[in-house]
Amino acid sequence: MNREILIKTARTPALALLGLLALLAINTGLAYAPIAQQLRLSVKLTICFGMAFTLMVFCMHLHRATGLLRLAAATGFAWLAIMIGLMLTDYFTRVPVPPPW
Amino acid sequence: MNSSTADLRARGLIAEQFDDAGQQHATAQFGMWVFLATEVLFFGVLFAGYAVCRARDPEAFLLGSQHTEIIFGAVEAGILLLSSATVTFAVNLIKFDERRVVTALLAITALLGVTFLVLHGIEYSHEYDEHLMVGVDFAQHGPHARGIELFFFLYYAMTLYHSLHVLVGVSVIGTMGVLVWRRKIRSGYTTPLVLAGLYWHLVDIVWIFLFPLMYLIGR
Repeated sequence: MNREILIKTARTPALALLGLLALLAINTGLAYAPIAQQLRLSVKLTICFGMAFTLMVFCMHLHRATGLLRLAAATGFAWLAIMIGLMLTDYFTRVPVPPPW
Repeated sequence: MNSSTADLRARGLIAEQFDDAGQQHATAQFGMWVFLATEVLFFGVLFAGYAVCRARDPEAFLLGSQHTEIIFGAVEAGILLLSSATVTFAVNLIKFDERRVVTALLAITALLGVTFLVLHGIEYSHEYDEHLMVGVDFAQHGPHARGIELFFFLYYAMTLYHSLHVLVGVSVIGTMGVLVWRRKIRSGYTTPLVLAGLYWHLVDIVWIFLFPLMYLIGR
């Protein structure tokens, strides 16, 4: 294989892989870090979103996709955020009303 | 109509409603992304269930997670990330008609997927030995026993659905390898491989979220 082609095609996945493995290692290491559970969860989820973003942009080629494709990619996550957001809002704010009898 | 389009149409690779391969490729990619959005929602319902159940009994989820094997989960995550890189490399390389290398990369990707499934099977067998198999052999005691059972119910539901997706992905990637080897997919007609790659990456993304929520809490 031509060296130029190899560099051109392998550079992005190789760099993305290194970044993703580093984030995975940080996330795994955080499990043993002496920080509060809630804060730890927030940091872990932030790293997860960072990993998903890296994968979508560089491996799923969203960085050179059309606006329509980017919109379609964002739609699933937007609906998911709405679903989980509304559900948890209801769950955490609902006041149980005992039956009158 | 240029010669490439005419050739692809003659081989039956461009459907009649499309003007050319580029238009068909763009349409197929858009359709795939919409499908992936429905997959995100499919797993999203399970993640939403996880959020509510964990909010009801957070202590039980921390205790339940301590029974999972973090080494297995981390290695499986690494395997899927590596497989995402190999499939991306294959998708990039197909444009240069490097048939042998692309076939080898797809074979490696499928093999990594099979390794993931084998490791997960070993994990399940360990959990069976520890009497953690909900509905089959579950023996946990104490005030959080019901909550731990709920954690493991979600753990099996989510990881089994995910493994099913990996299995489908392995089959699809394997098929792509055969098609590339037979020159059915090559530069000028890469759509099936690009779509298969997108599906494989989604499987990876789901595990990126499953791993910390199932294995890394309560350590």
